[in-house]
Amino acid sequence: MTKEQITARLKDKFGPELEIVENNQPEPYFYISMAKYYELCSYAKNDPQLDFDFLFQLGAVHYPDDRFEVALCLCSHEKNHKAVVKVRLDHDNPETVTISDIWKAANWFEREAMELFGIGFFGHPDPQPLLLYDDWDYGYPMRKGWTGPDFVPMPEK
Amino acid sequence: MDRPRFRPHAGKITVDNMIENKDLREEEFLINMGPQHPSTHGVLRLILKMEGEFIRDLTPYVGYLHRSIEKIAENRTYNQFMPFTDRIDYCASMPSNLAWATAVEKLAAIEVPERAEYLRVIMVELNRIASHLIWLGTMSLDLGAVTPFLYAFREREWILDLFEMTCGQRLTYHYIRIGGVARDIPVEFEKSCRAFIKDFRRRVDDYEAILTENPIFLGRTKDIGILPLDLAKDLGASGPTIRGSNYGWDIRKVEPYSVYDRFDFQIPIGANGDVWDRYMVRIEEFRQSCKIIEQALDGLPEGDTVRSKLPTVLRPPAGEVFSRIEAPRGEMGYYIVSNGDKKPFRVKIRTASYGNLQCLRPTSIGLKIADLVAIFGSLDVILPEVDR
Amino acid sequence: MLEFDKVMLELYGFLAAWCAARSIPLIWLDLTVMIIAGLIMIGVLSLAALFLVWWERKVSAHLQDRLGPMRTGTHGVLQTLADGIKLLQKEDIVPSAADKRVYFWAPVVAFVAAYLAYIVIPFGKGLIARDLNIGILYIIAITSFTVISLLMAGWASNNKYALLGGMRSAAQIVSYEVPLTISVLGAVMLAGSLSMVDIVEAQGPYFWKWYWLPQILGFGIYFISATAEANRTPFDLPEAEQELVAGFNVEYSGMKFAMFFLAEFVNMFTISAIATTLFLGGWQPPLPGLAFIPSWIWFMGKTLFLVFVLMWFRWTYPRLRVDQLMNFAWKFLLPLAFLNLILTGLGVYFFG
Repeated sequence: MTKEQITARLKDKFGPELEIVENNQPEPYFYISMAKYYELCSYAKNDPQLDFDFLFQLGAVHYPDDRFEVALCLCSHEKNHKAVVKVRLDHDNPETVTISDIWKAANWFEREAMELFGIGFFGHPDPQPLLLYDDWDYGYPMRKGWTGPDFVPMPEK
Repeated sequence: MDRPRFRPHAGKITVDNMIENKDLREEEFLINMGPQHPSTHGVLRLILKMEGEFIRDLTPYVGYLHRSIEKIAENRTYNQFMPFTDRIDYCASMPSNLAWATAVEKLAAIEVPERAEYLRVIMVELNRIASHLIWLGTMSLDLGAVTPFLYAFREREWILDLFEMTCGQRLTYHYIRIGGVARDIPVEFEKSCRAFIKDFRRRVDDYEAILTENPIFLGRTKDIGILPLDLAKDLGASGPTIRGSNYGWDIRKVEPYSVYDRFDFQIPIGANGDVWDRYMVRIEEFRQSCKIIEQALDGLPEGDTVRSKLPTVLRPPAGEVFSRIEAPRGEMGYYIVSNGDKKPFRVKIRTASYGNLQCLRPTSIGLKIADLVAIFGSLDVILPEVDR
Repeated sequence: MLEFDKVMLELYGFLAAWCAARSIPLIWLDLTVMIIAGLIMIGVLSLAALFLVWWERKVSAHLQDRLGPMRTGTHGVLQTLADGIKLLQKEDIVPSAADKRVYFWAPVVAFVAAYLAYIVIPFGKGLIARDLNIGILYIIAITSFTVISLLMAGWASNNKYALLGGMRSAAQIVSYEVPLTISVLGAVMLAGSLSMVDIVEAQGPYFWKWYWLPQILGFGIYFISATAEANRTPFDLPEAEQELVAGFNVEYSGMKFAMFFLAEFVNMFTISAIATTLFLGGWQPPLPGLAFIPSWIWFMGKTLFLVFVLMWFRWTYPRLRVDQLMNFAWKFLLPLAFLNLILTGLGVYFFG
């Protein structure tokens, strides 16, 4: 499916909950509301037209003093198309639901986002830290403006 | 957990006595495999729940090589970050470089000279062979065959010599740059490269002669660690791992980047996703890569420019991009968020081993510890890629 | 040419006369001779093991298209000596939770078991420490001691990898003992004796009359089972490096490790020497015309060739898995060994 077809199909289903990001990339980018996040993922995976069977990556982005975002890059093997789905999370209380029951690949990606950004994924089957060492106690290092005990900021020219 | 201790028996040893005696009992026990272990290919740690030789459960623990490269990326300019991509997958630095370069070029709409595109393909395919050689060596080592390991490293040495001739480095190349490549190839490169390809075709037959039809090797790999296709897709497996499960998915074919659409090559696929299929897929990829390199050397356009003119400090427009390439281990991609500054706002690195490592647990439960080693070897996971 | 048996007999006769003149009981002379012979044996075998370690490294290196040790001495001949001195100086680490006594005795048992077999091996005409009339039975009994040492090492180390290695070795060696023993019986039936010297002499100085031809099946079974007994690739599961790190000797260091290591190489030499004795005519020359070459050179040549074959196996094959190993022993080798036994019995009955 082309970019327009994917956008149209999702727009039909989700209407105003879906917000399209205008850019000149070959893939569609859009925001989905928090409430419809899980539903959209489930629909994208199971709908025979969309058939997004492959979660390429799940990454969190921190916009300081504004919001967190979780960005999913979805791919379809059979249809050979891609899309980027993003969801905005509250800055002070970043929480959403897990999608690791839709794509098993999300399991580790969510653990990583949980650990490095402090985003809660409700219902995650194994909410353990993934990358940092056992007695890490210095907050969420990937957040903007994070400082730790040995942190030296990059000098500005 | 109780440690096994040798204690002489107090009473007379009879069968009843032995069953009642608490010293003699059957139980599941945990084994800590890694981070220092000969066959965890670096620093993976596995906690195995064993029942004798059988694995009942396993949990991988990663992070021993976590260097927070994503955080580093936020503090470097686009060009400055290029050397760090070498360190994401140090067995295949060229594809890592290429992934970053294509992502940034897609974001900033940069044109690449045609000669540079061909050079990129040559280097990436050579590096694919080098990376698969490491896999071949370590996997045969995991199965107890030591000799193919040294044969593989002998051939890899030649590739490293080619790279050294081109860019001066033998491991972390930093050769592919945004907008092209660092420099043109030296004059003697083409001759040496063609000689290598000619020699290497024969060597692949040698590897097959020593391994492929060996009954012990077949016994150790056939029908071991079967990864069903649905599960592979669900777990985010890619590259030879998913191709072994009878699925012809290769970014070079389905979504050609660089100039891959101009070359004639096949995508080898396996039959049912066992260790042997993944092995055969990679062996066949040796030959296909040779084919691509030869075609690229034949079609290498003349020209002096191998790098397009770019401002010293690159400032791509605000926006985001998601791009992927086919690295030796599978799909590697970057998701970059730019706010128009000279530094990326956020870089998310998606590597092939991240997905492939998650296939380890479902494929090896219920098998023996020797099979676990074979499966792990066949998945070709490299830990710096997982931890980043 | 130097024929050891005549020289030895004359020397013994001279010493016996010397003792008789001074009315010293002959038992003292016998004891002294035995102790000296034993010491010579230990010395020679230790040197042989050192040589084998070097040789294995060179063989593997050349099979793998590299040079191997080159620095210590000409082509690195002194390399193992240097390694041995280094191992002697190493700190002897004992895990705190180990069973100290068993941990200490395990390498000793391995070492002793490996060396005791040499009492009955005829290195040349008359070159044998003791020609026991149950020679081959004695060897089978003594080599089984190895499994006890491996189990001791695996259990006493208090390490799970070592435990798994010890358990694997117990299962493996006990299983392969059975086809090994039965395959040996074929040669014994043909020779009609259990004594090693009798078996060699029964084969005669014609290479087509040696037992490898009538016992080709038995020879194959013996060699495969013996490879498994000596824990060599493709049957090196007890110390499978990529699975169990080093198996039963994972916790050993320094000289204790070196003892296990030497015992392994001595075992390798043992199985080759037994194969030579039983199936390749021992110290007999292949043709009577070649008898001017001393018998011990023939014996050593044949044995070292078999050792080379073992090394060749090791650097070519991958490793079997535990269940495949067991299936191979019980479902393939054992029936084949029985078949060989029946065929030999029929052959001896009708043509013998």
